[in-house]
Amino acid sequence: MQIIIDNISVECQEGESILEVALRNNIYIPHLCKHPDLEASGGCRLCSVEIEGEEFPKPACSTYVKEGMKITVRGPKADETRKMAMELILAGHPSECTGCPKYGKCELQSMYQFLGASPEHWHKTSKPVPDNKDNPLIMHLMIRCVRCGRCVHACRDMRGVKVLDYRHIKGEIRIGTKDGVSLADAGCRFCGACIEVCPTGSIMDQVGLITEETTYADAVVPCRATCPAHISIPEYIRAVKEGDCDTAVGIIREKVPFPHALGLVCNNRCEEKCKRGDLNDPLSIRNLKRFAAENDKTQSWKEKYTACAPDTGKKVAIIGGGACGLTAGYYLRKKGHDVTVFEAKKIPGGHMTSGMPAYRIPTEAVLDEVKVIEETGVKIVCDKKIENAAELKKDYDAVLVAIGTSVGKKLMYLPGADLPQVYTALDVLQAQRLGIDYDFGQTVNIIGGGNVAFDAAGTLVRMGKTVNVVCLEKDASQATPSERDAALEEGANLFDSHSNEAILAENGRVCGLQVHKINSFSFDPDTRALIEDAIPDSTYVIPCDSIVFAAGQVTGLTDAFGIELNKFGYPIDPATGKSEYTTSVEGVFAAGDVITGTKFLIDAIAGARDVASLMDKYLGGDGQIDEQLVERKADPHIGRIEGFAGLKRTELKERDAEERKKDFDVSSIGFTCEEGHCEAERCLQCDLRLNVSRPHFWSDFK
Amino acid sequence: MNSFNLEKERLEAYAAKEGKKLLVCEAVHPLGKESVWIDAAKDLIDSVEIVREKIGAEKALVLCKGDGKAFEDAAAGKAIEVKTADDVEYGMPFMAPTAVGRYLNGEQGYPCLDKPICTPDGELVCAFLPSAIIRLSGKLPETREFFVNDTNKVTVKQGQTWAEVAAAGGVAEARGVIAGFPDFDVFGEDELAQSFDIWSLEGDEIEAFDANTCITDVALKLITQCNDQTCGRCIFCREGTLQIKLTIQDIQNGKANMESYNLAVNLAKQMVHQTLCGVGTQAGKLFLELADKFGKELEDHITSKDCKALSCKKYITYHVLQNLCTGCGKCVDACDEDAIDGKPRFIHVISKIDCTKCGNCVSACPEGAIVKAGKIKPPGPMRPIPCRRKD
Ligand code: SF4
Ligand code: SF4
Ligand code: SF4
Ligand code: SF4
Ligand code: SF4
Repeated sequence: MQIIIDNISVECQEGESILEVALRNNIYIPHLCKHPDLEASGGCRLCSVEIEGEEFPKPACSTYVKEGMKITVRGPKADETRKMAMELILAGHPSECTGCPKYGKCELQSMYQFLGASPEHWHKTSKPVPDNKDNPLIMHLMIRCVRCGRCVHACRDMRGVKVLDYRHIKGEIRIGTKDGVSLADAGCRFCGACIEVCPTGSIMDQVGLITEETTYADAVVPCRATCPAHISIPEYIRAVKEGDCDTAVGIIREKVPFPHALGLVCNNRCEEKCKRGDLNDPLSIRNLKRFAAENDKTQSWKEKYTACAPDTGKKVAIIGGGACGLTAGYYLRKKGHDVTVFEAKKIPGGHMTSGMPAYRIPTEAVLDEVKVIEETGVKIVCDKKIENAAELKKDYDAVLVAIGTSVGKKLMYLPGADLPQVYTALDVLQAQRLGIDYDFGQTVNIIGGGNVAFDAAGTLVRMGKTVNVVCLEKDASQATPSERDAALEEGANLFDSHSNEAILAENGRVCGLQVHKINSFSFDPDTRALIEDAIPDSTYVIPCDSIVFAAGQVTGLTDAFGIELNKFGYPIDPATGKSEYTTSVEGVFAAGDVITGTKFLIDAIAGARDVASLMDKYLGGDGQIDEQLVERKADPHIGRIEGFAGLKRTELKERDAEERKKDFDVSSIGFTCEEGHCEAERCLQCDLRLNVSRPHFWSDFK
Repeated sequence: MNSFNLEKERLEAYAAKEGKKLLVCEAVHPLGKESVWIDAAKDLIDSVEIVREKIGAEKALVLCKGDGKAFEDAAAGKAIEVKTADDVEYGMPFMAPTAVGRYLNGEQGYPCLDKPICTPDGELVCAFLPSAIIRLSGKLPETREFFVNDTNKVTVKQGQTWAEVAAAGGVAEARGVIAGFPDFDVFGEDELAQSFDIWSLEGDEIEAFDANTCITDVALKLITQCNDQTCGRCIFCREGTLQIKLTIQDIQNGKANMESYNLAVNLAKQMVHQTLCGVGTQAGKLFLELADKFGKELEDHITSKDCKALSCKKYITYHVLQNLCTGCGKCVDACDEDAIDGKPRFIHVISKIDCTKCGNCVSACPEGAIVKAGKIKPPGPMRPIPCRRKD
């Protein structure tokens, strides 16, 4: 049907409000209590318009169109109503905007400036209301509330949580919880919808949550922003909650090809930033990833996942079949390039299959995920060590160096470090995982106190060895406490606050480690030399048959590799002098640990994504590697969950130490269906509020 | 004024609806008092039954506050449930079935614009005030109970005049009557001899006042009731009732001028049309009718600082009548402000500066020598002089 607004004839449909029709046709009508996603409450009357044949102005938000209606937005009567309404609103509002956290982004401020209204004729009715900053994540600064009711509608209708409502508080009408209890006690789900719809600075994110340093979306969904690969965490957690693990895995795979591996060993930095941590404990994001991967029944994502762009005719060689090389290979293959991955060891997977303990990440799990990559047509050549990247480039259009840091470091200054039974932690892990035979003897002393030392310890214990971990730090404080404790429970011995003097030998074979005890230590800030406060006369010998250094890893590269390296053996781009995705040879790229030093699995994958995009562009593609694999639902109506704020984090259970030390099976037990669901339910679904429509500002109209 | 036509339309609309329906009778007294309908429980329940059948509702629900026994007894054996709604924070905003619907869904009872609301069991909520139920049933009893000035319960017969009702409620020489909350109708002195239809009133409250009561006090009381009842959603109701309340206080305190008074009148005009339910509409209408029928009295306060009822402290002074004062000094003891000067057998004098107009001295004087005065002040000495009274 047709109606006429301000002499313009516009098309509209039965059931539409005048306001909707006007805004759609780029005609601005001021409005406050109506939000695009919410039912109009109809009380603010800023949207008053004149309708021909009607004696009094009508609210456009809740007056529905009729054929032939003639509407005047700024007629004298409508203007009088509108202006008075705004004046009354302002009479009950603090008179100064300066200092308000919403300043400059405020709908009310924008609107009263547009209307040129001021409350000077009226009684000042604004009364002090104390700020409430006691709730986690959300501040109530209700002195600025104009009681438009949007938050009430958002909480009740959009979310179905029903926490906020109009209340009689001290002789006034205010917005709040029933009986003024805390948001947590009122059943709030901390979804932030109320913050999103509030047109004033009355309901705000707690100070520090929204900063200028990040985009708004990143600030609102910090877990996703913190994940180096920006996995859409809230979306996959929601799918898990719905019991749809296939979709969850699809969502994870949109960013990373190793959901299961990450679910087992990712260092979950996202959890540090999870907003749920402000309520009680963060979501168990990593374990939910594992849960999803282990319950992915139909792999509904697969068809799209393995479909590649038409062949480009370009050939890419990737040196190193670890997480970085395989990830980059996958994306480059998706973009239609011919990809060959060269792996020096006998199986692909890099650290996942030979640099971490099997009881954390089983080889089959990794190979299953590698197989999917191979299904795209990526060729993997194992047992093939590439000696010179520049030479290789001659046969390929592009080469990626992704060899990681796969050589363990020995502290050669320690007397006896060159003895035959001196190994590195990597040797231990490879010995077990690749079946290489080393002469460890019965008792092994590990030098080092980080996580890798305890990985080696756990592995040696399972190989039936007696293990002593010797380190400078009191309580081996470098290691993650849970990983340290797990190894100690399994029977490894800890010699903390110990400094090494020499590796002793008898008849040319290691027989012990000479040590002394220390009170404390530090490093000279200039020379990085160790300064220790040794305990006098505490020298003694810890007998052993072999020594294992857990003192870090290096690339093992030399100039023979054909690209420029820095003095530590890391490739550099001569243009910047730093380790970059580009190297000294055009068309030869580098990514992963080989340029960053030893980092975490997720960093290698994130780097691989970046470098794959860069290489695709180099090869003539658009560098676009993001893809939507699965459809997802995001029901805004989250409803109430009893005791939501107090829901406890579900921790992963470990198998009993006595039992797990006997084998190399995964030592932790993945979530049961119930645990997975309960844990997923704890998520605040921080992303949902980004789906709330942005309200209309007059400046958006012509 | 009543909304008789509107309620008939609503009845017909409800009757035409398919599906499950629930008739709700809002016998909750809006000001939180015990309902007058307790005394007429049987009549009300009978009418509920008739209206329920007219609408075609399976069930009816009577909402009340406090003891619902009278209704329960009357409803025994009928498809009528009685529920005490003690958790309602404020009287249901009236003429807004959506408010009742929200309440029955466990939410705050405030009106909204959206579609008719159903109970959690899926019954369409059809809500009416008791008086509307009686009217709609067509079975109009000959008498009806009202509260006059809050507490005096009066049984009014059909055909009585306003003056008779006021007198029955303790105001023998009424000069004005207001049919009270939630639907206000103001009647001036010349209208009090009219008889009225008891069933034309929406509410159960009647306000009657005589020459000793200032119109500003009546206005303030009733507007405050509205302000207390506002649910807060309509700017013109929430802020409007507050602004008018403050303007009336200004009138009483000598702070108002004609400009602010006219602003309040304009505001009241907007309130009548720009609110969602009867609370805001009626508050606006009340103030407009007061300005219409008692405007002169209000303006006298503003322009000539005159309160004829001698009630607004700002415009009155206390005086000792020189021919009656015996100089006993009892008034001095009663005055907390030390505002009375005098000594035994001297005519006492009240200081205009120190007097806070509490009126304690008036009752303390055994001779009735202390009086209030408005514009015309009784003659008297500036400072104590020996008494003239010899007895
Ligand atoms: S809420 Fe808006 S209008 Fe109010 S003080 Fe803040 S910026 Fe100003
Ligand atoms: S808190 Fe914000 S959204 Fe809620 S009523 Fe107040 S101004 Fe409106
Ligand atoms: S549930 Fe969501 S909308 Fe409701 S109060 Fe909590 S954060 Fe706000
Ligand atoms: S609560 Fe959920 S969406 Fe929010 S930060 Fe934590 S995991 Fe991410
Ligand atoms: S008129 Fe008053 S009581 Fe009625 S809906 Fe509006 S604000 Fe609420």
